[in-house]
Amino acid sequence: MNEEQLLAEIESDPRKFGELYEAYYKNIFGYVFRRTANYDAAKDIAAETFLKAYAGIGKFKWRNISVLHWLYRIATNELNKYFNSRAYQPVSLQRIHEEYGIDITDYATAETERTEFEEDLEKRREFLKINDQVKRLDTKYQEVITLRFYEQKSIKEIALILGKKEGTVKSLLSRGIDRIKETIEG
Amino acid sequence: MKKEDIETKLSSMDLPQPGNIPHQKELKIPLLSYKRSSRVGLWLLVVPAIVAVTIVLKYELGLSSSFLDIIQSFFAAIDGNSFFTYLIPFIFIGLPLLVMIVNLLAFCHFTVVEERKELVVTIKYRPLNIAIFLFAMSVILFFLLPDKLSF
Repeated sequence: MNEEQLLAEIESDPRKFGELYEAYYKNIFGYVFRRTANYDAAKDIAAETFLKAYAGIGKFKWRNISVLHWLYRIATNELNKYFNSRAYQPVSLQRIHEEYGIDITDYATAETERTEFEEDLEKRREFLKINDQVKRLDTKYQEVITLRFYEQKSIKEIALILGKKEGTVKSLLSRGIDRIKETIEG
Repeated sequence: MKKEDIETKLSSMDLPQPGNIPHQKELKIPLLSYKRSSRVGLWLLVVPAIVAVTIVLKYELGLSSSFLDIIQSFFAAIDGNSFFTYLIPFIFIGLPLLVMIVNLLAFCHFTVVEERKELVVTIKYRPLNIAIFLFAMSVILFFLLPDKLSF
């Protein structure tokens, strides 16, 4: 997909955003699901991410940086809200629900899907154990560790997603790993 | 445990990899048909509203100002043009009617319950859309009064 060309097409026909959605939904849902280990939260946060991206796609300017990085950034911000508040409120989803009376995350297949995802997750005990330790870290460490080890992003990519300097990312990564080490040993 | 061991552990985890995500397709349609606010329809009312306000201020309240005269002479010139004459009902009745429909759909939801053969109308409390709807309706009623569609 030539993203630059697609972005130009989206400007005249917003429905073309569907192509970005098709291409990247799996990445974003996967990222959010790995971080939350919660199907319902992942579903809401991924939907909120794409709603915000759809509403703000006009502000995204092509600078040879994939839209995927921008989507990761939106998802990371939503994840921070989720982890920092006891009751996460997906604002755009709620607005649609209030204004149009529909819950766009109320899928016909939701129940079956949730069971499948939860069963699959329970098999990955090692991941769940480490993820619990990661979740206890400060958000700034969680962000870099999950992007590096869950999403296999390079330092440069993490810096782009988070809008931080590469040196800062390296340092946060190193200190985050130290914190996990302390938790395991402590 | 060494720091490198933690890194190796993190790198070699068996991560959950959502393969097939059935809800992806179901979410796409409502996501892309998510309507932007119908408030944008407000701009359609600008021209008829300016004319209506000019008429009220100038003829009903007897106010006089050069600004009102400019607006009046501009629309009088349009009124005199045979081509624009045909557009006048569209501008003063058609556009506000469109605004009314767009805003009505924003606060009214219609659902057909086939089992009970009922049409359920739900009115959402959306003050801005209701206000715009009423304003558009008053503009239409104003222009439907005799002698209001020509200067």
